[in-house]
Amino acid sequence: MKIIFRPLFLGLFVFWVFFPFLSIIIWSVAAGWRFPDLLPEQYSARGYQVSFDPDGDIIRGVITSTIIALVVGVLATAIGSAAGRAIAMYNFKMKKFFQFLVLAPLIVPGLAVTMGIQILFIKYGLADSMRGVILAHLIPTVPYVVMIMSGTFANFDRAYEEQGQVLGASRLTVLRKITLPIVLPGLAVSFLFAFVISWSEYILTLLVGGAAVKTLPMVLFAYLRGSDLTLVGAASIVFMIPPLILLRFTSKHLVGRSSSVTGLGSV
Amino acid sequence: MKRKVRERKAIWLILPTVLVLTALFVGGFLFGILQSLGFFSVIADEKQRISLDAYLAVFQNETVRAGIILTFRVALLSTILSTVIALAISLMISRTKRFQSVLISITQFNIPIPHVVAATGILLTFSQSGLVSRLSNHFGVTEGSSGFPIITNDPFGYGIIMSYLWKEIPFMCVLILSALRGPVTNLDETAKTLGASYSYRLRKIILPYIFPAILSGTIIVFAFSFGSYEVPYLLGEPYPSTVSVVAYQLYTDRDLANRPTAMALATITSVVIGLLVYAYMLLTKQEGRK
Repeated sequence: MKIIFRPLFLGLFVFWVFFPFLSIIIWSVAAGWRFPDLLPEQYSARGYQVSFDPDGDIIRGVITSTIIALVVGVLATAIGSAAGRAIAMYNFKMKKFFQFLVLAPLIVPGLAVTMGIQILFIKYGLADSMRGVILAHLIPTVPYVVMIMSGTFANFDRAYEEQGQVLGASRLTVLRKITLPIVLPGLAVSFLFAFVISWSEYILTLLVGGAAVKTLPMVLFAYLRGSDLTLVGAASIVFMIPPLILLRFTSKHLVGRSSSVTGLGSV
Repeated sequence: MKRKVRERKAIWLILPTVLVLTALFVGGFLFGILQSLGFFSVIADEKQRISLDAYLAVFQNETVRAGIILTFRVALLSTILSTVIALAISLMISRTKRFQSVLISITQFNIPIPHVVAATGILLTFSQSGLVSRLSNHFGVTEGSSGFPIITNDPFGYGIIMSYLWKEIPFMCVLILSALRGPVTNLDETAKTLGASYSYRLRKIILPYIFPAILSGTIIVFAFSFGSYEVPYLLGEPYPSTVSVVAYQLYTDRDLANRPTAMALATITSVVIGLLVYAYMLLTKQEGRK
């Protein structure tokens, strides 16, 4: 009994993880799929033809989303890493208050904050623009980077940097040749989280970008309001490929002996 | 002297984060409160009248009241279930020798999948004309699409909870698994060599060690499932709907007089989540000291 239980439970979990993808994949290649049928009678590549139409909503959405998520990923990682280092390696006045400021956006809904700030974005010409959307996406992403990088820098030995300095390396050389390579796993995971959060964000983009900034989640939402489930399926597949590719390159740093997620565990 | 220099350097390191979060997050929060009190009214010809009317309107709003119960139910069930299941899965994976790395990869697979896609998957799988309904119809368990129970876009919130579980169990697993792979492995090995049983090690070494990771995870998951918009919008009903969906509806309502009410609801929601998290941290701190 006991021996069967673990494989059974883990097997169920694996099934649960992959099962919802099954309907998405089938729909994406179905030419209609009437109710009682277990599988579609006919298949078609229409969903993907529409998806990869260079002038179509999806490809334009992919481009817009990629630009925004890349910029947000780089900005959030740069901004948050510095603060993560400060939390892990320095003592300073009002440190507790600063940590509170970093945690608060993980707790308070982004919708509440963005609704409040929209009036200022309109006033300063940031509404309906990519710049505005990028700024809004920094709210949920920077705190994640700070948490992840404070975990990374907690295991960082300053002696490596000091040795470089003693040997006459400039500050920039120390940063480039010593610090960055050591914390690279943390940076990779930070970028993954920031990119994925920005890539998936819907409501902040809608509030700030309005109809002017059409990211991929906007396109998928529009399809979901319609009834063309073949398009919904294909758009969903296109939507999840880039984050999965990114995961492929960072997954070994997610759980491991020197895991980078431990910072999140110290909230 | 040296400490002073360090402190000044730390200021430069935190400055960008402080600027971003103060301007956007604190600014947005404060401007939301001001607008809930009647400042910056968008109705041009109306004289600015500062009042608490919007907060009264929130409590008198029937949609809000119905939404509060749903929101609490969804957030609590999602948090408790994802924590318990993720803990069980993580402990089992950590004890499994075969396929361990494969299983760890599978727990990570969902993490980067957007919530909108997760909700789409749940919808296409569990709706009355979804894959499960087709299977159950095929094997004669239920009859037709209307014979299948309504578990997406349902009043209880099953669909919303399933979607959150699908995303948050893996998230909790990654947190717990990375804590399990820390220094606790050596402690556990030592205790094992000394003859401690698994249940003893679990209670005295493993659980106390991964407790902080679980704590952080529950806070993030609770706050997220309480205030998120996409999933309840796609998998919920128009009425009752979670407070975030109601807040957005009020905000974008044709009647601009509803905007302060939306701001008041958003403010109340933020304060309630903040207080709950604070109370939970105080409670668990005492628990940790025992």
